[in-house]
Amino acid sequence: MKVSDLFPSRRDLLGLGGRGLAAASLDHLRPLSVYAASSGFKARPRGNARNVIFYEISGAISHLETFDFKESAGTPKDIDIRKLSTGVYFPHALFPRLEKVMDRVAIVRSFVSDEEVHFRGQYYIQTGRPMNVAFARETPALGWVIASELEPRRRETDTFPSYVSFSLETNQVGALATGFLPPRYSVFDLNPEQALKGMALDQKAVALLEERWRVLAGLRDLERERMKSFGRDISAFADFSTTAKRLLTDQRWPTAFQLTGEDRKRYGNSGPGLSCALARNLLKQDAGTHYIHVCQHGWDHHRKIWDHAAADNHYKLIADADPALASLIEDLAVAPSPATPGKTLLDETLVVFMSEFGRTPGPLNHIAGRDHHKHVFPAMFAGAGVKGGTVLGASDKDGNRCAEAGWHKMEQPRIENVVATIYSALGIDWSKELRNTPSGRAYAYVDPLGAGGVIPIDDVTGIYR
Amino acid sequence: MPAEVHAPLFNAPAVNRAGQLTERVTAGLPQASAPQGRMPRANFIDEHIFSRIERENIPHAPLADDREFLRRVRLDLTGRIPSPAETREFLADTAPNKRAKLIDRLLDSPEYSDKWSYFFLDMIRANGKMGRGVDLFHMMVKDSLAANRPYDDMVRSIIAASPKSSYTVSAAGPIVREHVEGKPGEEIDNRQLNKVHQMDTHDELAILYGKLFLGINLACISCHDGKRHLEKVNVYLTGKKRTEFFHMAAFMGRTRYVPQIEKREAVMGHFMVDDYGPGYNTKADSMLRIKRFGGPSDPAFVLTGETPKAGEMPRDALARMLTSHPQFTRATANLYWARLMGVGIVEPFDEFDLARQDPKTLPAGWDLQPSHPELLNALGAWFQKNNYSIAGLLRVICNSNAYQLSARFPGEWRESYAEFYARKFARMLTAEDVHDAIASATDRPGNFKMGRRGTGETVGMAMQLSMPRASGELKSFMQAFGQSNRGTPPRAPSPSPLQPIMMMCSEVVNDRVLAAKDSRLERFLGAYQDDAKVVDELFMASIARMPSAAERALAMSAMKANRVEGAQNVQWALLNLVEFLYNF
Repeated sequence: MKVSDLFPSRRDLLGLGGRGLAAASLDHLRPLSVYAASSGFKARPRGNARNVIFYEISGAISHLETFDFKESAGTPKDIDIRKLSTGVYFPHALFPRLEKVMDRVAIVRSFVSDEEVHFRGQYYIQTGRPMNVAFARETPALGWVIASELEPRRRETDTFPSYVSFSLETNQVGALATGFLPPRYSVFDLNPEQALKGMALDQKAVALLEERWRVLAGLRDLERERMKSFGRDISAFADFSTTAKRLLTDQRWPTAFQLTGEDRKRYGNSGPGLSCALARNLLKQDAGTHYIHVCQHGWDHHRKIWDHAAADNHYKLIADADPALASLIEDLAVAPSPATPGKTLLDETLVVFMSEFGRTPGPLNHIAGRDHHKHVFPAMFAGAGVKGGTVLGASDKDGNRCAEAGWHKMEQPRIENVVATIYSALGIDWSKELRNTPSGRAYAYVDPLGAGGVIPIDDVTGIYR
Repeated sequence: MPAEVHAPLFNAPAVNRAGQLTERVTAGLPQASAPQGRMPRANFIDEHIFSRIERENIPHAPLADDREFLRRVRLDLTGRIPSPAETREFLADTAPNKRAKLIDRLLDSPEYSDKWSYFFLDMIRANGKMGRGVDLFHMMVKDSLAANRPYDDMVRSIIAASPKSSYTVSAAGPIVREHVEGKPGEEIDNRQLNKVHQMDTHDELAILYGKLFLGINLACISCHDGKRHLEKVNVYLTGKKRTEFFHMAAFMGRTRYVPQIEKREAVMGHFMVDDYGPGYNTKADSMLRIKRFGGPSDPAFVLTGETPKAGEMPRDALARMLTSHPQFTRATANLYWARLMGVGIVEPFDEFDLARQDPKTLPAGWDLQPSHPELLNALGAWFQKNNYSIAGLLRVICNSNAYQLSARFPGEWRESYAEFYARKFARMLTAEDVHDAIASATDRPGNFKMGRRGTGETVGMAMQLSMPRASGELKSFMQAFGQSNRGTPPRAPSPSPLQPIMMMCSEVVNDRVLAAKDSRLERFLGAYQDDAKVVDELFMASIARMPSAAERALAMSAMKANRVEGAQNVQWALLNLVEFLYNF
């Protein structure tokens, strides 16, 4: 008998019927019907964060030389592994800046995935579920579900989009869309360099925009005049222009897109560096953005992973990631919370950084690289009450398979559990299902039916203890 | 798994959504007047469309006026907006058959083959995965369109392509594009054949050919039987088994995708393709799918069970069977109809349910899938009889009055009217359309380098390229308007808040509306002292019509304080109008 035989089948889970909760009407054209999941699982959202930043190390970092150090024939000689005060072995030479804030970071080393190809793995990370080609058209990215959940919390003064992403289009799946959710949550994926050039409107640019807007509004009014005699309702058209103009002329938005020379030096002038600096700015403005997904792609080093001479290698990407992540955590830790006096932004922001899977342990492969490894890989958490220095779960002596799951379940945690942790932190009940999707199939926020059978959908609370 | 797991993907028909969008888009335009009398039949298409409309007493839009028609057909056939001179000429032309002549002219232009080859490469998802052959493939498709090559001939050459190098035989492009990489880290032989997962690549090609050329989604049965999965989705595929998919993929079973080797490493994206392989292995593992479970592995065409003739190469056999099956012409006609009319007779274009095409054999409890089953058959038959000419297909559709109806509807629109094609549906411009329209309206072309390393000629329009090649600011702009990297199937462009932000602050727009660098605006300001004339020309260049008196007055007042800046602001405002950003 398999362990999975002990758990209810999906038929059972769905057959019990839902306890209907109040239908959350988020779009007057199609109200979304929300139901509690019928499995009996009781989600207890912690609500310990106002914001979440998800930093996707896209292409898969090698955990063996970084966040789950395991010495092998393939370990490069120059990474200067040192034992931190938290007991964790960490490459000082690779992450000199991040090392200084590792006492704020919890590492969970026991994640497992069923995916071994980037496209599917990156899809999994962005949507919180394995890719099902039949439903891909209607499945929203995590950020959109969060945006729709946070909608009722938006204040009159909030003009920023709830969900902003950076460089997701460099990802193999791109910036995933809203699926069945209304288009007002549409993709807001920014290229940081371009955004810095284009969004930071100075006085003159704002004045020009206002003048142009006057002409545009005038032309539109004339259209409306023409139509008045026919009594047609022309306000139904979802025109984003007004939203856009409000955003661009809200002083806080161009301000968020200004970086000092000092910022660029500390965070680094790279894509990830600028993205992290902008993420900090967006959160500091406290104007409506609460979920930020930063994507740093390019980690897929099947060849010459630790070869300085190679055009593209781990050293280079780490050199960009190190100052970006470290500066972000440092700055959030000293920025005052806009909501709670006495607290910092880091106190109310959960920072998560992880890859879609790990890399093959042991000696390097025949082209001096490491390949994909789904069996065990880590995820890192900081902020929002995370107890820094915590290490949950363990891989075996080679970093090959899981030795300890590291939480209250027998099996290894998955990306679904990271997503549950994110929802929980934001105070969202992730056991919910939405029923009136286009296909008619229930959309579970976190699906208890994983790739291989029923999986636990618990959040990983051990990072907080 | 219970049947409800695979319920139909979209309950709200695409045609209703198209109707709703069109309602909103045309809300700001003058209302149409009701058509007088019976709509004349320009060709067989009108017979089908209007007989049904008249039979069921559905109100419909009048014919589009010349101005509406000109902009629409120019965008549809050539991906460009008309210049002021074109607009004036067409409006002034008094020849009775001027619309037909315009259609002929457009189909004869190089812009026609630019746009429709770009479309075909979108459908094939030609991107970096096609490797070195992408521009060659692009050239082949362009030339085929320009020369009016029979479409079935081109499709057969794609299916049966057998190059010693995909860098030199253009038709092999799609094969290269679909290759599935082998398991990383596996030991390799000196041919490095397992750098490519041969069996999975056969599967991907079978799925591609099914979707693009037959309109049938074989992806479902590539993993499992239809039974107990597709009962609510597709009656025909419910009766199909995974072994039948194996039989279909087995046409490619003996094909080998042999990577080019340079400096002892396989170059992924450059292959030799031959047919010396061992045959389809129904026990092979898979990188992408549930394990194959064995069974017969001889080729048999999924729609008919037909097997190759004695001595016939399997891929030649597949090419022959596929292109001679009536579903090929119906699916192709449906695909191009959908592009022109906004919504296919069957939607989506790659989800045909062959058990629901004929009202006489419709299974109980199911709707007929095509909105106009006889029309679809007629279009397919017409396409075949006219030597599979794509230009011919586009021509006959554009010449119909059904295509030429206005997007504006007289009276109150109801969703139930949508499936009758009672009005022309509006569509948002694609990212390439938007860029090229801005470039035309301002006469400030872009700067794209053709060729893989940007060493080829420079072109001004996004649609002249083989694949998206924007970088920097322009790339952000194009992506906001939905340009994809062709990793996933093409999506219809949809509005997002980032788009107006781009229109408002991107250099792509702001630089072009300047009276500088020999832009249209600069020339107008130089040539005309009269502000009214400048305003008229800006309207003509941007939205292909003259301003109303009130609009002219408004625009002129914007120019009073500062002539140059005011005119720039007016052009900017015009580019932000719905009239500019939508094709209707």
